[in-house]
Amino acid sequence: MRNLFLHSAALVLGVVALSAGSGGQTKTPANSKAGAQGQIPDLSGDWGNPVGAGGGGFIISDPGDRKAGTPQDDTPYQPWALAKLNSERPENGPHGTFENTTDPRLKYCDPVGVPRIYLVPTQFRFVQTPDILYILYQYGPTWRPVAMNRGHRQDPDPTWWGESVGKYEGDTLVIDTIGFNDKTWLDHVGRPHSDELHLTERFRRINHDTLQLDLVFDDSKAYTKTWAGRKIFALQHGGFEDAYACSMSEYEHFRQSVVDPVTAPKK
Amino acid sequence: MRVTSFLAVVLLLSTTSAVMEHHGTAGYDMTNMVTFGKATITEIEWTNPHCQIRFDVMNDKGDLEHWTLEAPPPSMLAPREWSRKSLQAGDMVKIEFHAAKNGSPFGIIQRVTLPNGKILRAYPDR
Repeated sequence: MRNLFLHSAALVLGVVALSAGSGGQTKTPANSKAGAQGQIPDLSGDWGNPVGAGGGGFIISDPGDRKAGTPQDDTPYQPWALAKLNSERPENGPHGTFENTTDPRLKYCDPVGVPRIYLVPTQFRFVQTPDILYILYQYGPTWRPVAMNRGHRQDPDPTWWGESVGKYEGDTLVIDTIGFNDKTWLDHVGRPHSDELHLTERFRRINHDTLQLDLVFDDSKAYTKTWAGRKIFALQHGGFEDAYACSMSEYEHFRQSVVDPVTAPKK
Repeated sequence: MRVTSFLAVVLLLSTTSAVMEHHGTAGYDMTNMVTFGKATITEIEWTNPHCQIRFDVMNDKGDLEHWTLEAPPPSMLAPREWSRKSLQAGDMVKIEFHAAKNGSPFGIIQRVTLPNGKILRAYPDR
């Protein structure tokens, strides 16, 4: 039922977005004002991986996430977090395996949450309104509300996507999220987080065709200090309307018809 | 080498980033590209999490081999000029892919060349 609700809501939002302006994008005049917050930066368009770039990761010094969990990985893990990372069986990273994955997205179709959804090679779009900014994700498909220009509620209940509030700082959209559960991975290689994760996303359109996302992970339960990540997106031209539904039955079919024979012992 | 007369192996010094797009490629030999010049399409499954392309080739012993290739999902193929009708059962095409490491007749597709010369890329060229 929840998925049905999210799907329906996404469709409604999609219609709103498609009817909001040319090219199905919300357009904001460059000189428009958003009350005391100043100008609203133009983040219109559909965003996704640049051509040729893979899902990769957020680690600035290791964008392909080939060092995760190795001695060369300088992510400031708490000991349990490093042990958990190295106990996982992701399909990507230095220890990537095709067999018996523990990835909750691939194993259970669990929500990927944020920020991992930005590593899934699908697109997303911002719908900027004065009180709520919506992010429509092609994957799911799902949508995420960001309450603008207000603080967090007191001790929000933990959820897959957390509670997000946002504001504009000049040309940058800043989203602050807390209230996560601890069930999602931060990325494709399985970096964990706790329910105390405090995530900051800073989106800036560094040129017309390029969107930069800077992340700050603050989670003292899982990491000894805050650490940063980055992801670059390119303006996309088509395809956003083709929703990517996560279906457990389809995953199971793929597993039986491809993954199992590919991971069978060599003859 | 199971199908040497139909198979050209091209060694590529490449990274796996282009196909690390949805899930891992750990099961495939990403350093070698396999090419079948004459593959007969038998089925295409236009589905998540990955489309699947099935085809037959004749090996050098005259036996028919049945292959299955993993492909990106529809949401990624559509912007790359694919549709669920791009390949039809009976079509004879040139097909390039990375094969499974375990020697099974499976792989992950790179691109297809149609009889009219049009190239359909499942992933960007590397």
